[in-house]
Amino acid sequence: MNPSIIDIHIHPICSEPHLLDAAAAAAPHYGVTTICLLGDVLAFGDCPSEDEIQKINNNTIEIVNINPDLYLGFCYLNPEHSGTFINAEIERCVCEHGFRGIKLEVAVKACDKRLDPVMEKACELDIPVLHHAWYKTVGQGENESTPADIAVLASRHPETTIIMAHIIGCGIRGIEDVKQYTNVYFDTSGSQPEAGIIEYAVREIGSERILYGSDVPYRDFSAQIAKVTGAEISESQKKDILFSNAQKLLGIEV
Amino acid sequence: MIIDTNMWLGQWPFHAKTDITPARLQELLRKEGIGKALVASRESVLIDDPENKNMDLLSQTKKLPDLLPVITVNPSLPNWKDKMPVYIEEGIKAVKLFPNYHTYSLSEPFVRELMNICGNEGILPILQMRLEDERSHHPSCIVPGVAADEIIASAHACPDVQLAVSCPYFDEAVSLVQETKNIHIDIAFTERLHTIPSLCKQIPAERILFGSHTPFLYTRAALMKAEDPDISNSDRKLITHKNITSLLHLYIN
Repeated sequence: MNPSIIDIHIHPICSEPHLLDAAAAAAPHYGVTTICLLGDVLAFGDCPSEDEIQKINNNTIEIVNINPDLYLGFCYLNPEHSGTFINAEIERCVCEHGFRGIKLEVAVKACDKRLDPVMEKACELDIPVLHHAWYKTVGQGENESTPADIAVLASRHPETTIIMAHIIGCGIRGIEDVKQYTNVYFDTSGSQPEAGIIEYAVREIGSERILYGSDVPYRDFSAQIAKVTGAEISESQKKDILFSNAQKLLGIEV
Repeated sequence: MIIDTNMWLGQWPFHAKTDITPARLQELLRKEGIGKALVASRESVLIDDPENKNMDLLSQTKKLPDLLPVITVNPSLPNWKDKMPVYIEEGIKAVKLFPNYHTYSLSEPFVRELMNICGNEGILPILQMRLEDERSHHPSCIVPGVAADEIIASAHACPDVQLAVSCPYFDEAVSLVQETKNIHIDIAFTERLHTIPSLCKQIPAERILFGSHTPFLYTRAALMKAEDPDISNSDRKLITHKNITSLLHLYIN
C-alpha cells in the first residue's frame, strides 16, 4: 500500500454525516492521509442561493475544525452570485478558516465570464479552482461544463490554477482539449476504473499535472486508487499522482 | 484462489486499451494472483454471427486451462441452436448474452429456450448488462444498458435456471438479487464507499461474484474491492471463488 495519499476530491453529505465518518475510518487502510473536502454540492440542487452556499461551507468548516490533520476545505461557490458576495465568502473560507481551494460545480458553465471574479480572487490568493467537467454522450446537464469550456476558462485566466475534475469522464478528447493550457491539472475522481486513459494522460501531458481524487462516498477508495496503482505507468509517476503533485500544489507540509 | 468471472480477449473499437492476447491475459492473472478466469471474446459482440470468434476463442484457450472460454450466443439468429451441440461437446461452462447489442428482448421465446438448454446442460448463462459506462459511449454508437426489470422477468420465467448478470450498477445489483432467487451479480460496475460490505448488507454474499471486466477496467479495482478489510473471510471466499465454483460445477484442488 502507498504510504501517503492525498485525495483531492471528496464530498461530505450534510444529511448523511456518517458516510464521511466511514470514509475517514477507511482512509488509513488505503494510505489516505489528507482529504480535500469540496462541500456537499448536491445539497440544494444545481444553483444554490447565497444562503445555501454559506450553509454548505459552514458544514465544511465544522468538519475541518474537528479533524484539521485529515481534512482540507475547499470553498464552494456559485458564480451567479455578486462579486461582493463571492469575495466575502472566499475571504471567510480561505483567509479566516484556512481553506486551500475553490470548488465550482454546474451552476454556470466554465466558459461564462461570470467566473471572472472567482478566478481573479483565486489568482490573488494563489489557490486552485477545482471545476467539474465531463463529456457525456447521454447529454450534458443544462449548465454542466465540458473540457472545451474549461479550455476557454484556462485561456482567459492563464495565471490561475485550475483542476479539471473527472479525467475518465472527460476522456481522451477532454485531455486533448486542455493539454496546451499548463495551468490546468486533472483529477482522476469518479466514473468506472476504465483502463487506458490514465496511461494516455501521462503520455500526453506528463504525470506532473494529474492528481488522485476519488469522489467518495459516491465512489470507493479501492476502485479509485486502483486507477492509479493498476495503471501501466512507473512507480514515480504513481507517486506524483497519488501524493507529490497535490502536496506541492496545496503547500502541504510533509 | 480467485476466479474472475468477467474477463475478455481481443479488440474493442471504442477503448483506449485496444487489444489483449491470451498470453498477456495469462501473465496478468499470474501477476495479480488470479487462479482462473472466464474469458469471452470482445470481437464476438459486434459481428453478425459470433460463430467464427467463438471458435477462435475455443482454439486460443484450448491449451490454457486457467482461461475458461465463455461463448457468445445470439439467440435471435436462426442458426444459434445448430451451434450449441458443438459448444457443449467442447465442454463450455458458460455462455454470454448481449440483448442490447444484439437488439432482442429477453421476453422472446428463444431466450427461454436458450435458458432451458443451459439449465439442462449445466451451462451458466451470463447476461451482459452493459460493456461501458453509458455516459462515455462513442456518440454514434450509444447502446443503453439492459433494463433490470427485463432481466428480473426473464429470471422469473426460468426459475430453475441459475443466471449470472455482469456489470450492473450498485442499485441495479441489489434489485436483481432481492427480487429473484436465481440471479447472481458481479462486482465490476458496483461501487460506493465499502462496495462489497455495503452490498453484503443488502444481498447475500452467496449471490455475489468476483468479476473485474478486464481489460475494459483495471483488474486491480475489483481486487481492491475484494480486499476491503470489512468483508468477513467466509464472505470473501464465497465471492472470490466458492460461488462460481459451485455454479460451474468446477473441481478445484
